[in-house]
Amino acid sequence: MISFEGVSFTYAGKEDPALSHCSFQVRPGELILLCGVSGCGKTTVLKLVNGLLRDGDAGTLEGRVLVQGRDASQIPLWELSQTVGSVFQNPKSQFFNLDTTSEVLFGLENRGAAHEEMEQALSSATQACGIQKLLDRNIFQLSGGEKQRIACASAYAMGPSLFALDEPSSNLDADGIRMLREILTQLKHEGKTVLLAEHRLWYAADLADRIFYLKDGVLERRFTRAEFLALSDEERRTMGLRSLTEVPLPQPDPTLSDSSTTDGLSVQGLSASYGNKPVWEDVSFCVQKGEIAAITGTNGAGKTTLARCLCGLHKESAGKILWEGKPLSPKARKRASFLIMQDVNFQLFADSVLAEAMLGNDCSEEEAKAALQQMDLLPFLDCHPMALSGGQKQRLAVVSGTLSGRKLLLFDELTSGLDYLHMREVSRELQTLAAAGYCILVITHDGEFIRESGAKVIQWNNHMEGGAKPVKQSNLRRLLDYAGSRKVLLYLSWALSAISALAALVPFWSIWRILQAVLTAVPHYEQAQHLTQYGWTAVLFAVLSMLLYFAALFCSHFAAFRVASNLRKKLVRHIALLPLGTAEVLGSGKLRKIIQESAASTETYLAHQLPDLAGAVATPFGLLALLLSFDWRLGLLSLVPVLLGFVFMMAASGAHLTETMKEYQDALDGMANEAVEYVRGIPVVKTFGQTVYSFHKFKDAIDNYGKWVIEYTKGLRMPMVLYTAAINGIFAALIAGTFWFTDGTVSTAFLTNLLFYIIVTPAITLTLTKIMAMSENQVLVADALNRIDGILSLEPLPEPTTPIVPQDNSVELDHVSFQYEESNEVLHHISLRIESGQTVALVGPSGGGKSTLASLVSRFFDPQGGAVRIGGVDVRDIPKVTRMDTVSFVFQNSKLIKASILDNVRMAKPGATEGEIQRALETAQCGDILEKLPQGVHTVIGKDGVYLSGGEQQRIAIARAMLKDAPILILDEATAFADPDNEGRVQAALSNLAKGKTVLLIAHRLSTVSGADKICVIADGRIAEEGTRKELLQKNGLFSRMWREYQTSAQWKVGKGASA
Amino acid sequence: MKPLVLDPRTKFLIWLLTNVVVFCNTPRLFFTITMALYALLFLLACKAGSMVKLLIGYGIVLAAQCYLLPHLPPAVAMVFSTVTYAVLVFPCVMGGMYLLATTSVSQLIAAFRRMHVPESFTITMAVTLRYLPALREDVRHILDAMSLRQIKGLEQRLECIYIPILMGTAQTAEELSESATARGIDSPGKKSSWHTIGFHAQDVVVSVVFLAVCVVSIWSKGVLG
Repeated sequence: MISFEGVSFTYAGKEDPALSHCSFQVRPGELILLCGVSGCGKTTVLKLVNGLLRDGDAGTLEGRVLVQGRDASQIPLWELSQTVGSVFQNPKSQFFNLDTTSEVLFGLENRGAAHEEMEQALSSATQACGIQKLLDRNIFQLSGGEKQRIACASAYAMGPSLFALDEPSSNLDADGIRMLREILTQLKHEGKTVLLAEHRLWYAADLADRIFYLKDGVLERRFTRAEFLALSDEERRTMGLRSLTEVPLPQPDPTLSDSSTTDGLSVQGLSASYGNKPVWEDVSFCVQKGEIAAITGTNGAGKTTLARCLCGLHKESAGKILWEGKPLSPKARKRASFLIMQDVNFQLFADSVLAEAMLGNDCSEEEAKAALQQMDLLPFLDCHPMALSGGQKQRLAVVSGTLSGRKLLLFDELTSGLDYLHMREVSRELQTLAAAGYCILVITHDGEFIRESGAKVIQWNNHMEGGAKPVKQSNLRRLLDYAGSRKVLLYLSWALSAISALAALVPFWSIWRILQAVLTAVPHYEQAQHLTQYGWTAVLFAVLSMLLYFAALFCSHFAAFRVASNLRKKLVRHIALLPLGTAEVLGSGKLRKIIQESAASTETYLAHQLPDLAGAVATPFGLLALLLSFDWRLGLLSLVPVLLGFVFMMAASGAHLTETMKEYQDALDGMANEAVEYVRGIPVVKTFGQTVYSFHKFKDAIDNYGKWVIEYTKGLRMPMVLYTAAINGIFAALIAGTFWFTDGTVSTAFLTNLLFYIIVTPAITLTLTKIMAMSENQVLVADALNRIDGILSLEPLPEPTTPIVPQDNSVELDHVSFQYEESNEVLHHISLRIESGQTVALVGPSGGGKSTLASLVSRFFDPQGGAVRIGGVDVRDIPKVTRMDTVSFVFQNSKLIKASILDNVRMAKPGATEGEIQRALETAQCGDILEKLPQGVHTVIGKDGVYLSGGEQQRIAIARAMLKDAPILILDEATAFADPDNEGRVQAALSNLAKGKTVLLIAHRLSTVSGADKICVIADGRIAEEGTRKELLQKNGLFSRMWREYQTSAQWKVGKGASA
Repeated sequence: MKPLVLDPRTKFLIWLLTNVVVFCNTPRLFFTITMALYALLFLLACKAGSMVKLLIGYGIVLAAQCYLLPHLPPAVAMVFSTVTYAVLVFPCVMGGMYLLATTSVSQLIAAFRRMHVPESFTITMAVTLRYLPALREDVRHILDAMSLRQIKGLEQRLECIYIPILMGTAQTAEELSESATARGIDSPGKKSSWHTIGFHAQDVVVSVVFLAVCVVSIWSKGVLG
């Protein structure tokens, strides 16, 4: 396929050849890995193969490069590109187009391919490189890994048989590299020949057929895959190669989590966002001076954002950053830290190395030279920074950072594209810097580098999973979305409300006209013209304004009701999809509150407050226009006291007042809570004859509230006084203004205006106060939406993609571990097997995990570890419908709904006939209940005083389970609430039910477990003992102790002469 | 509602016609008519947001011209006379914005190729348009680096921006050209396009409407003097 015959290549202007006398052959279908230190000639080889380098201006070539038997330098580049596909190092600058699909087809377009050919190529490239989700998107929005995949697809689409890849993994993180590896595997699978030049060997070393090691332009060694992977670490390091196997990122170091250090950097509760989109939240860690810390994470997790935040380039949305114990503002951070970027070219500004070191730093030349000496840059004092190599530029950037006296250095990906020796050099540099007392943070995903430099990994991304979170829309936006087609009505209501507010201002204008007319006619008032006309205009507009407002509210209510109902529907639908256990865990009261009340509060917001807000916002504009249009001097003058009033308010409500207000709110909340406690506790208090004194907590809360309310009011006293005085002092200002403007003589026009302003200005303050009050309500809505979010964000139970039906009715728990959210593990590696038709009883002390186990079997929750299998099939793979039909659950306290008994039982099998239901009720021993009730089976329970006792309800529930006739039955303390009379019946009913079924029985009362095939004793989340009753009694362990105690307790009597 | 798609060549044509209407000093009525037509096109292309923004901008500039300028001292007003000019050529601005907002780079390139525009121009255009977002990112990095280095003084800052950009551009240009040549950009044959563009009924209708407006405006200018 490829043949190099004695190839030597020297770049133009250089003396030493980049390649010397290279000869090798590459057979079709091979994957060759080219490795070696930087500058060994790998890239040269690749460029000779894909034709970018040939004998000519770029350099001189000796020997021959043959591709598919033809001399590569004789083939025009565009023709060669049909055979050789290339992928380069830098994802950012490889793309010609702005959208992905055009980019993939770029090569084909250049070739003038027909549309059908392009379609075919597109689909095959999409298949091979897995880019279905990336088509038709803006390239600049993709991550590095995704960009490289597009580049690979673009090369693939041209249908070449040979691929030349030049360090494609340089800018990628672990995920990106995995994607790349998948593509390489696919290429190999299709029999393509691949030449891959790389530093990062671990992801390709086991895919390569042969490995070529180049040194100083000479092909020194050739390895087969086995030979290469067998190299020892020592040998590999001497060759300057990076690790051959993936070095995983070490675990986060816990010593960095304690963010209370005063020596160095300390970050507390930091959150950042771009606009409304949060990137990460609540990050806390500390790095002391002399330490090297590593910030890791996948692309898109926000590492760069974190670094920029620490440097002061990005303002955080919450949290604190402290340096040496003192919090730093972003501006201060810019002066305290230095960031060395991934692409150092952006940071070098001066025209000589010395000038660069001294730029922006006030240090002497000697100091600069000394620092440069330390970094081995002294020979290059007068060179232009751009003439240095990559590593040297990096060191120069470090020097300019250290010379500025900053002690916090951040490095962004400083080892991408470095070979082993350079990487070791860099880590040694960092260690030297750390030893000199600098605080160093490195953003990297290079596990080998972290290991080499001894950096400690910071635990920072435990709160947000890396990657784009869904855009958090503003609350209003989301409410609008729920409105659906009635959204228009909302907009309309705002418009109408605003217009109505403006219309309400027209009467003022009429007043002005009236004033004018009257004053012109002075002293002959009777001659004032058009007074009635103006009067009626005023009335007309006032009425119009009312009608418009009415219409506005009409529209907004229409829309708001729709929103509320949509919200509720969505919530209920979502709740239906959640795992069964979640509803229990959350609590029905809480759920009810959220569905009912939170949706209702959004309604008030949309229906009332928003239109009012629209009106309140429109009014000042209208007023302003009104004020300024007649006499702008007086207008401005009347605004001045208003501003003054607000200034007083703001100034006086300083930090002290906010604190007081917070205390006041807390006291109010506290009092409300205590009041509830008081009411709840009254029955208990009365029963035990306690006095009111037992409510001293409540009294304390009231006293506290009283205290803070007074403080708050006192605090507001001065500001309110000043504010009110200022607002009402407009008259004074106006009168004073009059004297000033008119120098004694007053014209009629002026007088008109003056009187007008005196009348109008109180209206201003009114509306402004109204607007201020509006903002309070925002908070309520935000709270409601948060709660709704809380439910909607709960994960519904994942349905299996390939549903499998259970084979039989056995139940198996296989090393199941489970814990409820935010609590300790309840079940530890439990393994239990119940055969079809067996009855197994679970007994054990309270809190041992019996009910949890039962709920896992019916998939109320998914276990964290292990698997639950029904009929040999994992519960997660059984479709919901089948599972519901297979497992039946009878609870401790069964709930019946407010419907007839018939409907209650029918719930188990919606299509059941009345006959079937009757039979089920009979078998469940409910005959006596039905006789008691007035309308028999059709009696509606829960209304009109028809209530059933616990035991009766239980029997109805058992009838329900019987109707369902599911092969697996789980009874969770089914006789708990039964009185002795009912117990006998319930037991009889249960034994009828359990005939022929697989039964899992949970019981406290050991009498019920006598007939079980197997008894398991569960304690502390583990199976303590297992076996038949006889076996367990013989063992003389936990069960036999429980049994003895049970026997004893059965003989207890209460009353006189009771014996022990 | 499906947005209205016009062939890029049509868009160029109507833009040209608008320019004729504006620069031939036809009666102001036709300016308003062309603006209204473009507003309609924006709405049909479902880009109401951009249109509203443009109109608001226009409104502000117009208001400034009517209310602010007469009250300013003459010297200052002369400086702001460009404002008056902007109001005048607004139809052309709208046309240009319409073109940019509704045409992707690939469609533009395809249109150029169909119009037999020389390859060198097309490729230059494509690279420029493609380079701008990358340039924006680079400038942001440079500004960040500059603010970290506390570089003071306007001239020093300007100096500090342009060298890294230059170097960055040179580097990007080289890499880009490598990537493009390795995919056959200098292939001598005729190039094809993935994005099909073509004339449809709407192109004809729109072109005819604009042509009519243009012709009528010139005629009425002649008639009305």
